[in-house]
Amino acid sequence: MANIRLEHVYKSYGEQQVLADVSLEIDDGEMFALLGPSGSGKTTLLRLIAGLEAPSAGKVIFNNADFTHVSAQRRKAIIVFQDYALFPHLTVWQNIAFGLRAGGVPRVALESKVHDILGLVHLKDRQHSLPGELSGGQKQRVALARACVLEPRVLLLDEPFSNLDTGLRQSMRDFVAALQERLRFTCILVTHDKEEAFMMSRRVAVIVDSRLQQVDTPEAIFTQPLTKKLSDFLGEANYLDGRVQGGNFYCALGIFAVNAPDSANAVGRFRWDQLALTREAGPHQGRVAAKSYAGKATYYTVTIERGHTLNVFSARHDFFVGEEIFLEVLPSAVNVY
Amino acid sequence: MRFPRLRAIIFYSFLFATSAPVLSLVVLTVSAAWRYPSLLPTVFSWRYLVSVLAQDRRTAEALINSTLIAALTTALTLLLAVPAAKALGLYQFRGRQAVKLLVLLPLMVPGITVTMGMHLTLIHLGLAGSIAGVVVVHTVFTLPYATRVLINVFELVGEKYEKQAAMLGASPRMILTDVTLPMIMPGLLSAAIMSFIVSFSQYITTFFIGGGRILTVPLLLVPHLQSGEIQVAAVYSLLFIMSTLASIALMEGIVRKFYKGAYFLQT
Repeated sequence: MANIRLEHVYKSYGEQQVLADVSLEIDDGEMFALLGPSGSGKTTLLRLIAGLEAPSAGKVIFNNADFTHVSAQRRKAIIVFQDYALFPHLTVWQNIAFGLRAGGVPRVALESKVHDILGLVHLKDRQHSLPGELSGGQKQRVALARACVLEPRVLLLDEPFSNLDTGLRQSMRDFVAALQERLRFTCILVTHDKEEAFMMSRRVAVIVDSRLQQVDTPEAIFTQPLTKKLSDFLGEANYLDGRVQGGNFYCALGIFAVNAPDSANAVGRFRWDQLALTREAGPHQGRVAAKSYAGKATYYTVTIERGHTLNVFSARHDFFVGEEIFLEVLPSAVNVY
Repeated sequence: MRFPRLRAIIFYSFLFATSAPVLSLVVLTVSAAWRYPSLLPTVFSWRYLVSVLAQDRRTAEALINSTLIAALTTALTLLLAVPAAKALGLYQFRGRQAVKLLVLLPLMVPGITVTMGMHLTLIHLGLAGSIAGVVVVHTVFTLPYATRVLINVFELVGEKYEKQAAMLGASPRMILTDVTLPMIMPGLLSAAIMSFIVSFSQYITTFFIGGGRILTVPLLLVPHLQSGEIQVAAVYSLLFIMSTLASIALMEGIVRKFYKGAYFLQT
């Protein structure tokens, strides 16, 4: 287990810059999420930590020791790939024993370690199977066991749940969370799914366009994204033009206290779930222009005065298209860019 | 299953088309007289078989030479083809596509041209007329096939498993023996079999570079075809087929013994 620190890490392939000035610290035993759209550079960052690639500039530090140029073989930073990369010619048992064998662990200790971890991932009855005979969830547990049995400095999970069916995905998330709780390894989860990142970890780093946008708690990232790029990646938000004066943002929906310098051209962010529809009279009258039902909530498109069109995400399904309604802004932070 | 009768007819026609030539070879080896319009030989005799297999010492010499040359050629080919194919299949570099095509060049240029050119060089090197010289020339013609097959295998298997093994702490040597080799084994076996057969069936190259001193099975076979001793040629042809099949069976057996449950690219 280790504390991981990245200092001003850059990575380019030829002309193309993949990572720019990424600095990040991950605590020992932390479950940390790295969130970003595909192509943002998050997988490259994972490969830099594992030692599969070297940064163009900057440092990778494990427990205060510079690991930037330590080979993957000696890092004990293990990626569990999206498709698990189980050795297809080896059995479950042999897959799990592979790293121990590489490390020259004596036979007796090796067997007991493999035995213990097989119990932990509930795969004792499949130990002689080949990977081709396993289900997706079983393969993932083998991959996790193969990495965890080595007590890695850091376990790197690359989009671990995106190949699984919805039901299995949730149970594997719980399984990984419980395993991490139990073994207390430092774990970095890479995902493009914001809900997954928010649910799995207490701190999330978001990378968009090769740059680290924000490192914060899930709540802070969701309600107060610091950059417009991050807000765009999170999506599900309305943007209203306005101006900032004396700590207040003036726009079509009213006046809101914000933490931003004065500006004549500001854009305010109102999340879809930050707006609510009501039949009781309020300051903003509007009309439902479109509606689409999505199960746990309904998406409405509402037009208000001066032709503004806003999207609203509501748990109420009973408003109808063409209905005259009122719009209210729920008390939550408003961000301006 | 629709048209079962049609399927059966097609199946047996193909079976006949492929096995009939071999069957007629077998019959030919024991026929002293077989003329049109007889369906079967009118006079049978063992003398061709006896003369080739028991009386002619050159038969054994040619078989040993052919097998030795083919085995050495296969080994040299794989030694060169595996690293080359890995580089061409997995690494990104400028001109990769062009090199992948150029690998086939020895097969595109007429074989006799390549052989004549190499003959001079091998004379300078003192390798003409030796087994080593013949092996070198055969390798020129087997290498394109083997490299091509292995490039495809490396592209299919990818680099991921080697990276995973490295992260699990495996040394380069362990990665080679425990991950790369077992995973490319099916392709390696195909490449080996193809190299062996190509080498075994070389005539012109062996004739030129061996300079008449290196006797192989095709070198014994061809003069008999030309002189019309068709029965002797048939015996050599059968010998040729059987020794090739035996070698392939041996190679497969070895692979199966050492790589139990080998991964036969079941993606």
